[in-house]
Amino acid sequence: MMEENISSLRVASDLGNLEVIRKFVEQGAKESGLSEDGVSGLRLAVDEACANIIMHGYRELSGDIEITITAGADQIQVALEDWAPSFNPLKRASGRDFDKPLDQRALGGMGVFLIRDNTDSAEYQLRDDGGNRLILTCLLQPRVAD
Amino acid sequence: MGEINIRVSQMEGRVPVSVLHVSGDIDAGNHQQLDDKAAEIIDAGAHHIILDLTETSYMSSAGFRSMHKIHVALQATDSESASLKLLKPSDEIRRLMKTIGFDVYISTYDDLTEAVNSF
Repeated sequence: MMEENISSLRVASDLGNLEVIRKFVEQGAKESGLSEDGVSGLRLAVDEACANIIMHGYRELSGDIEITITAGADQIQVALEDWAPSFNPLKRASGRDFDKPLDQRALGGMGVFLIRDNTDSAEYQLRDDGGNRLILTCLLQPRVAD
Repeated sequence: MGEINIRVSQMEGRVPVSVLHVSGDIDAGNHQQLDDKAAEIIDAGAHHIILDLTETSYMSSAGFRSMHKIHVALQATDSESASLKLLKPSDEIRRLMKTIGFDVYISTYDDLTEAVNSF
């Protein structure tokens, strides 16, 4: 079995913590060997997912979000776990009316679009203990042999 | 933590231009500051707005929604030339502008004078 590097961060569900979350993901993604664009993309996807969990999962409730990064040889996975009522952010409509003039667009689903666009897979799981788990995965580019 | 600073300056080109200089990364936690400041200057009569992103490297969808809001508010004014333009967005923000098709409607400039004279 390939060696995996695991790190995690637990923060309160508060939009003011998005910056801390982005920095944590950026560092983990860089260390995993993800490309520069891949790092930016994953950081954005996690930010969008966490913003959704805070605003639409927890709403006014207080609670935590735990972010666990698992970096392996060929992929990096970010698991977002929360203890909010059942909420699947991926089920929110994914706004794809990007060919419409700007003033005719509904922009509600842009975050979900950006989560999917910047990851290789996004999967929601309802945990046995009632919490939510969202797993975002990015594949690492195969390294070119010397 | 997560705060942005916004400063407004006035420039004179062919028309009066308001520049919103944002410093800091724009996300769901702070975009309201941008919404409020933009609404304030549009209410006060600003029709030609430059969003200066020289000191902003990152923007989530919340920032793009703010941009959308400003664009729509300017379209609703009685000035035909009312519009929003961007100054020096980061490579990442430029890439996202393209991905979500904002680049067709909101022009981007690397030089403030050029941006001011483009209205």
